[in-house]
Parts: sequence; structure tokens; C-alpha cells
Amino acid sequence: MIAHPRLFAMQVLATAALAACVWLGFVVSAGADSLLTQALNAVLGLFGLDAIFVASAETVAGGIMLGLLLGGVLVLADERGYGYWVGGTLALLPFLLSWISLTGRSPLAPEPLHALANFGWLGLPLLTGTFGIWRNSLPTIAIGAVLVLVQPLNLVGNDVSAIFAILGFIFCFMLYIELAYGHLRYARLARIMNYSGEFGSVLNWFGMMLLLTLGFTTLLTAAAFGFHDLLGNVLPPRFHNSIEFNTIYGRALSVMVFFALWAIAQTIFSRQFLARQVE
Amino acid sequence: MWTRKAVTYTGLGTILVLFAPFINNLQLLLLGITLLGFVAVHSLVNTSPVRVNITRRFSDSQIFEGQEAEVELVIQNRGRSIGFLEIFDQLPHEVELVAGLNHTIVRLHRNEALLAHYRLKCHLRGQYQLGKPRLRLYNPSFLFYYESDVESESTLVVFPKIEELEGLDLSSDFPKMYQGAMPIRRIGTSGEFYSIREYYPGDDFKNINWRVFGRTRKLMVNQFEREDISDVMLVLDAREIAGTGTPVHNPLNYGCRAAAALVDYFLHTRNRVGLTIYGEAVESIGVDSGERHLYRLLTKLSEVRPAGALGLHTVVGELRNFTPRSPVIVISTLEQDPTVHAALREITAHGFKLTLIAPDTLEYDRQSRIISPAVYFTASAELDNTISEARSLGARALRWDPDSVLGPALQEVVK
Repeated sequence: MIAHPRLFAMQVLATAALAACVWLGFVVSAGADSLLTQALNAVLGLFGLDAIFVASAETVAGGIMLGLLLGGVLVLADERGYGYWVGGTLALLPFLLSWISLTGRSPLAPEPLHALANFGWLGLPLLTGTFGIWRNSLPTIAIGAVLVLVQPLNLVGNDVSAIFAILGFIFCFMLYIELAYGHLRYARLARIMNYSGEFGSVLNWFGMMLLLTLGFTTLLTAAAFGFHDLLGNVLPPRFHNSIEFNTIYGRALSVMVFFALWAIAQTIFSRQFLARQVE
Repeated sequence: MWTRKAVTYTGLGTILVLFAPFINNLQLLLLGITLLGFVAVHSLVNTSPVRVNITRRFSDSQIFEGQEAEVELVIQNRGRSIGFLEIFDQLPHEVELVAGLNHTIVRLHRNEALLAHYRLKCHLRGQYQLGKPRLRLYNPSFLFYYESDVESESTLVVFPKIEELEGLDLSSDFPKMYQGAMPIRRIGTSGEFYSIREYYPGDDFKNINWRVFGRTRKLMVNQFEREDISDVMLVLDAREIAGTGTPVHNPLNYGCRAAAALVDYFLHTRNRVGLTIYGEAVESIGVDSGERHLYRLLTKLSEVRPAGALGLHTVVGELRNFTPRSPVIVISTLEQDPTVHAALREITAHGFKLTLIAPDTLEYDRQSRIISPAVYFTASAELDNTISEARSLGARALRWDPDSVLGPALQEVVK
């Protein structure tokens, strides 16, 4: 049942943002095998099996579609009270397929099963995230977010050459988290807000403020990132010419200094203001 | 105040910023900065002071037990525009919300006023304080919140439920004669016809009903209603033990209902009624009549709380100033009061026409396991003994089961 059109829109947007996140995560990693994928392949190698987990544009697209499909199935099953059954079956299915495939009992060729397992692995963030978004489950929303971050992680790293993909990823990630969590809170408050007749108005305000604050956050992020250069001009040459300062470590420390200064400024200037809150 | 979400964002952001350089990952570094920046930006959004006035209006600020009251909250924004304002109107536990909610979330533009409605049902007499309304201001992404209370308290008075009593003759044999006295359904000398009876020598000739004589050839005389008013004193037991039981089912509540019914009955039959309450102290409201006096007594009954252990004997002093030979109605559990026997004797010795009503919740207390069977049987036997003693002193005494209607039960003992 759709509780409110705006709530429904929040769910749809959050799901789309999550799918975009998975895709952009792959784009940022530029096809390099992630640590977790390598680990899974290494485990298969221990049993003398070929590596079947691989991230390519096609497999990631397949993973997104399979993740959405399985997530949707799980949502529907949970709505009808069969969530545990379907969830349990989905969890056991890869092991079952692997066992059938490994023991040569499968009438199917092993390749489709391998592809399915690969899609299932790559679509895992979408499966959990979709379930969390549509069933208002905070733990699964969080698991989805962690998987999106961790799954494409590798030791190669990335730099400003992939800056647009990185910015897109961050924007989609924030949208996913904020819309999913916002939906969870507002859906819970819907019972109360329906009485006030202000439901749509408050949701509009939420959406508008989310976009505005994301815009301001982008500016602040740019300022925090650029603060490193400002520090470079202010600090003595032996500091700004040092190796530590000119690597990503130096930039990270500059960022921490920036937010420390922000916090100090806010504390000093808002003490009187906070006292006025109690009125 | 920080929410858990804000703490999580700050913690995660810091970890990402510090961890990302180890794997040379700009993506995680920027995400960490973004999370910290998001928290920093939100610390400035929807957190400046608000000026909100809330006033409460009742459909009726004085109601009876079991009735409903419509409450209207007028929320006025005197300051800046507020995107998310949660308002929680604090209600006492004794009232039940039957429609609407006392909890609302609104968006308020500058100088905007909104109305919120809800309906309460009050099952228990009392004087209840509604408010203060609590405001909670969230910023859009639930990262920070501020709470404050608004000074807006109102009192809702819930009177005890009044049972309609009819045709009770609890008044005195020695009425006070006043101009404008009301007829009571007893034989007397007013102009209102009551019945006819046979003529006896000595009857006034002007009362002979000549029409009946014409028809029946028997001398019959008209009888007329007697007109009188009485001063009635109600004595209510509000000792701590009278509050034994549940908040709803206890002798004091039933005693208050019985007193309210009697007050209403006597005042509407134009008697004068007084009320004496004993428990922690002896409080007395002198006899008077009229609608204002009715509300005065009902208000007093609504605020009675069980406290103290003063015995019935402490009331006897108060009764000395009361009109001699007038009706005195004592409503008491009679439990654990060593002075009750002496007090009953003294009241009847003063010539007051005593009626004793003992609200009996012992059976309910036993079934609800508030008291043990042994306590029940002891208390029950003691109550029966006291009632028998009161009857032997000429009082009308009633062990009243509150599940039964008071009127018929009282009529039984009046007979």
C-alpha cells in the first residue's frame, strides 16, 4: 500500500540512488578487482576451482538488475509474511547451486550458474538496500551502505582523474542514505502527521532542504578540500614543502584542522545563542 | 542536542578521512569530508530560536465522569518560519484520548496560526492539569533537535457522576418551615392534593370532599401534601483506607458519586445541603442551597483525595453546630475506624436522623486479589456488625454494592 505519494517518491529515488551508487562505485574503481572479490576468488582457488567473481560493466549491470529483482521479491515476501522463508532460501541458494555445480549433478552448464553467483555477489548491496528502503529496516539500510562502500574497495586507490565519478558516487550515496532514513522516520511519523494535515508540507520542506543542504555541503566540502592549499600558503616553507604535507595524508590532516576550527568557531559564537534556545 | 545519527555521521566521517590515505583512496576521503560537512551545514539549519505560543480551549472545562471534552490547541508562530515542529501536549494518565492526537507535527510559516483538535474522555473525578505543551524542533535530516516547554497550563475539572434519585424520603420529621417551601410527597397542609381518606371526628369541615359524599354518601376528607425543606449534612469518609483498590474502583470514588447524587437530589428538591469530609483533616462546607452551591460541593467532591486516618468521631464536633434533629448522611467504608461505634451513638444521641451508606468494594478487591480471602472475611464480618449496630441505634444503614444503582438500594432501607 502506498502511504503517501511523496513517501513513495522518496523510496523510488532512494532505490535509484543506490543502484547509481553501485554503478559509480565500479566506475571509480576502473574495473580493478576489489579486495573482497579477490578474497572470494582465492577461496575458490583453495578448492582448485576457477575464479568466477569478476567485475565488468556487464556483470555489474547484471548484478544491479538481479539485486533489484531479488530485493523486490524479498520485499513482497516480507509484506505477505514469508520474509524469513524467502530470505533463507535466497541465502542458501548460492551454496546449493555451487554444490550441484561442483559435484557435476547439474543439468545446466556451469557457466550460467557462475554468472548467476557473480551477479548475486555484485547485486548484494541492492538486495539489502532495497529491502531496507521498502520495509523500513534501518539495519539493512546500513548493511547496504557498508556494502556499497566496501565491495569495490581495492589497494590501487583513486585520484582526481576520476573526480566526476567520485562526486557522482558521493552525491548518490548521500541521497540514498538521507532518503532511506528520511522515509523511515517520516513513515513512522505519518500516523501523527496525518492528523495535523501538514504531512505533504513537511515532506516538501524535507525534500527542498535536503537538496539545499547537499548543495551547501558540496561548497563546504570544496572549502575543506581547498583549505589544504590555504594552509600551504600560510605555513612556513619547511612544512608546505615536506613530503608528508604534499601527500593525501597531509590533505586529510588539513581537513581535520578545518573541521576542528569550524567546531571551535561554532562553539564560541553559539554559546549565547544556545542559551536563548530555552525560552 | 545531537541525535545518534549526527554522532554516527561525525564518527564515520572522521574514520573515513583518517583511514582513506592508507589505501590512497580519494573517494573515501571526499565522502568523509562530505559527511563532516553535512553535519556542519545542518548544525545551522532550523536551529535558531523559535517563538511559539500555544493556548488551549475546551468545549467544556467542567464535565462529569464518563463525559468527553473537546480540546482545541491554538498554535501561533510569532517568530521565524519553522519547517518541522513537533508538539506534544502533556496529559494526565487518568484521561483517555478518544479522537485525534495530543501529539502533532506541523510546519509553521512566519506569523501563521494553526489549530489542532483532540477529544478526551474522563473516567475518574478530579482536577487535572493539562500541559505544559512540549515542543521539539528537528532539523531536516534529524541530526539535531531542541526541546522546550511552553507555558500553557489549563485545569479540567471532572465532577463525580451523578445518579438521578427519585422519591427518596430521607428528610427530617422536623422540617424547617420557610416561605417558598417545596412540596414533598408526604401528607401535610399545603394546597397540593395528596389523597382522600374517611372522615374522623375532629377533622376540619372545609376539607370534606362533598363530591365524593354526593356519589358515595360517605364522608371523606381531602389530604394535602406537606411542604417543608430540611438541612441535610453529608459526611464523607476520605481516609487513606477509603482509597484502597484501583484508581477507579475504590470506596472513596463510589462515596463521592453517592454524595454527588444525594447533593444533586436534595438541592433540586430545594433543601439546604452541607458537606463534611474527614480523613487527613476535617473540612466542612456549610449548608446552603442553589445552583452555585451545587457546583461548589461538586468541585469539592472532585478534588477529594484519600489521605489521613482521622476517625468518624472527629466529625461529631462539627455536627454540634448543625440544625438539631436534621438528617445526617454518613458515607463511609467504616473499616479500621475504632471511633465509629462511639461516633454513631453520639450522632443518634444528638437526635440527628442518621443514614449510613457503606460503599462495599471488598468483593471486587478480593476478586482482583488486592486483599486476601482472610482479610475479606474479617472486614466483611466487621462491616456487617457495624451496620447492625447502626440499625439498632435507629439509623438507616446500607451496605451498598457500587455495581447496583444507589436509588433503589436506598429506598429499600428507607422503607
